[in-house]
Amino acid sequence: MKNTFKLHSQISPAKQGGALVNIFLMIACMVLVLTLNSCRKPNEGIALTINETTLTKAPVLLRFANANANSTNQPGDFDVKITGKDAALVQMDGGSTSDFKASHGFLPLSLTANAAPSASAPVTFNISADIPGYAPITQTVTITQDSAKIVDVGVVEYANPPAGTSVLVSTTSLSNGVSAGATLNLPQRSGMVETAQVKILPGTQMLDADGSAINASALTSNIVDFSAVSTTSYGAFPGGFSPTNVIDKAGNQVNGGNAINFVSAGLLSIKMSAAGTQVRHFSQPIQVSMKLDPNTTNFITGNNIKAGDTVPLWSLTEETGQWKSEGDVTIANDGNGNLTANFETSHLCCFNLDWSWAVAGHPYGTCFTPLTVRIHCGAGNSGVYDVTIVTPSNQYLAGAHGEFVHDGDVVVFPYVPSIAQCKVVISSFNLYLNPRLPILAQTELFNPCGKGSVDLSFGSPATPSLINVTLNMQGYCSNKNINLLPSGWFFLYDIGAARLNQNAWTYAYVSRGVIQYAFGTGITGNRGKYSIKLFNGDQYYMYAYNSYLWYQTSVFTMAPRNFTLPSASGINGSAIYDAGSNTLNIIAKFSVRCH
Amino acid sequence: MLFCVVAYAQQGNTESPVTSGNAAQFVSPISLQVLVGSQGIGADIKYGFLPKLSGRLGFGIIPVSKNKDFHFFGFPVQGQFSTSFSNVHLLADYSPFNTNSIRLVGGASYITQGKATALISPMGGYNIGNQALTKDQIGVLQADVTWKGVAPYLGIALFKGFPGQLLNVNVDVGTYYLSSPGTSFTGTKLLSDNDANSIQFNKNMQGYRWMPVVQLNFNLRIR
Repeated sequence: MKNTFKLHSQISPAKQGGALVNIFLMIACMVLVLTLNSCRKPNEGIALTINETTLTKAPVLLRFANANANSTNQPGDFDVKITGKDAALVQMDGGSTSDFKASHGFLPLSLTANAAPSASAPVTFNISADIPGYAPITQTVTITQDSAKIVDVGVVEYANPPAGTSVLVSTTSLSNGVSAGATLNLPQRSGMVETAQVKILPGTQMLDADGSAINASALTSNIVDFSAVSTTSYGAFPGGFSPTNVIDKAGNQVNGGNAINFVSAGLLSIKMSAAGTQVRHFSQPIQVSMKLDPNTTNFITGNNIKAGDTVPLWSLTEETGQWKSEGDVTIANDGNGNLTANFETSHLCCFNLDWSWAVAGHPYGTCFTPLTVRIHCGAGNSGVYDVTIVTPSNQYLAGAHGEFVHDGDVVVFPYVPSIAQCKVVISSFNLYLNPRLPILAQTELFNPCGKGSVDLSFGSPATPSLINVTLNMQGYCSNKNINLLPSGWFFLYDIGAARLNQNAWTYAYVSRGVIQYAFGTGITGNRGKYSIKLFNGDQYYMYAYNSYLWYQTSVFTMAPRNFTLPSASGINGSAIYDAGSNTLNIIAKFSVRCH
Repeated sequence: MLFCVVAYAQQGNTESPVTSGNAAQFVSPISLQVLVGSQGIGADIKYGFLPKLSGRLGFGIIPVSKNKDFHFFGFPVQGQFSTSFSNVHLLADYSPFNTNSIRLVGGASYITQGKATALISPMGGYNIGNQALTKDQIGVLQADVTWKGVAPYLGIALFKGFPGQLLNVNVDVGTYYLSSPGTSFTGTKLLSDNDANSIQFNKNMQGYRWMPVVQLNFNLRIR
């Protein structure tokens, strides 16, 4: 202190002033330096997130699969046409309103932002595709609300039609669009009782959708008969089993637009074209005779059908996705011991013999008595299966799909169809609706309305070795500092399951990171972070559809180890294994180019 | 430069009451200042308590908005920036030297309103993947920063605190130390998922507490 005082005391007042000026100037400079350098950039560390989901509504995934699960051929990549009254509202999910393409048998669609689907104003469009080697695909999609939806389309391969279907492709002559008469007999398929015959009377004029005469010299017919009791045919049934757009003979909506459940006795798809124009009407009725399997369960009686039983007939208008009642058909005996359903029609295309029941709206044919299914498969055994209520003849009624079956597992059906007798079966987890042969276990027949609970013993399924997987999925713009929360369809393909003819696909529709719809192995989570259990040792690949582009990894083997996620097309990442929790943490990114 | 010439000329031509010597003869000067500078425009009234000590009470406001095209995350955007700042300040000028042409200034302001807003909107349509987005589909980002409360001030003032005659010009250089700012970072339409960025933006803005002041004071002597 002294030295300091002396120093100050030795400085002249003028010099003191100069020193203080310097100090003040230094302070001022320090303040300025602080001002300029103490701040981060306002956007430092900020990655902009773009929410693309507002551009789309009602995502709908069409899954095209060979209706013959034993065929090694599957629809892959192919062009698709979208037609119908609301076709302009349809886009590839989040993308283009043209260039519709399916990839790996999947077609991810959605409605444009200006669509407003509702029960009173459904959005309906048609999907058609011509895949070489397969019967022409025509599927009507009707959307009544803004939510995710999956439509399974079973595709009939001519060379390997699924058991339970019979296919006829024939060409007959016309004169100026007028038939001289033709009888089209579907062949008797081995292992299938059902057949059908379509008779065109002489002088029948072919008419298009507007009722105008078609001038053509040849008529091409594609007819597929679907067995009602073959579980393998169910996946190919056009129109599905839970339609919402159903009208009675007078044109009044059935069940207020709420879904009804069909229980089929047989379906016949008749598609005809002449000179490239779809034949939709005839100047006079054609005669149709469907031979039915006597082991078909009558939903009303719970017993096998017999002559004199009646079954409602429904026709599908593909442009609107609407099923219309065509009245009841009385099952007849043809004199040779065969049961047939005979009717006439002056329009096409699909005729379904169905009883029905409904849960929502104005319920009918339903018992609101819960049915509890207790599964016994031995301690430590587990697997993913379908647990399904079927008729005595294996016609689908209701099901728990993708159930994680384990010893002591309890499956509760809150309501059941009102049928005199049914059974619960366990089958391989596969197509969306139908139980798939072979049936692995089943109960005795029982009346579901009064049963309350039922025990189902299921051998001893092999216990799979599972790995807990956390999946951190993120999109990013490869050329900008922008992150995209996962949106769109995400797929995981289990090659091991496919080899066992089990469901290979797990897919989820994700909106802004939130799972809106999931199918397959159970998956949970949100905001790009998800949990799933996968089979140790199985090979998988990942697949995503975002912003009109497909992304895919290479095949990788699920194993308790660290590995790099091999990128095939735009998805890459890494996997870190934590032995303590048996958890594999996968961080995967898909790259989007933004400009 | 022109300002400096004028200021020095005034300094040379005016007589300071502070340097007149005898404190008993000191008559407290009063002046009215019009302020123009980095903290906007304003006014204060200045009172000389002692030859080396004066005080001022006044206000300042910044009502500025500006449009600017620039690149944000690599995208060409249009930014609409607006600043709304108003304060009531009470400052003291102290001259530690023989001359009062350099003064230490300290005090505080009460920030009645302190807000900076950036509205960032796209200039045109962009593509994300194969998806073409229009400007209207994308939406707007808005970043807000607000300061409130008392802000201490430290700085220096250059040139005479009171004019020798009627009018002079002097300069303030200093800074306010603002309260910790509140922030928001929001977006509309496709940009509506940026809530998570609010935290990072708030963190980034926490250093923005020094509000520099470089200000011209047009000083009209009343007494």
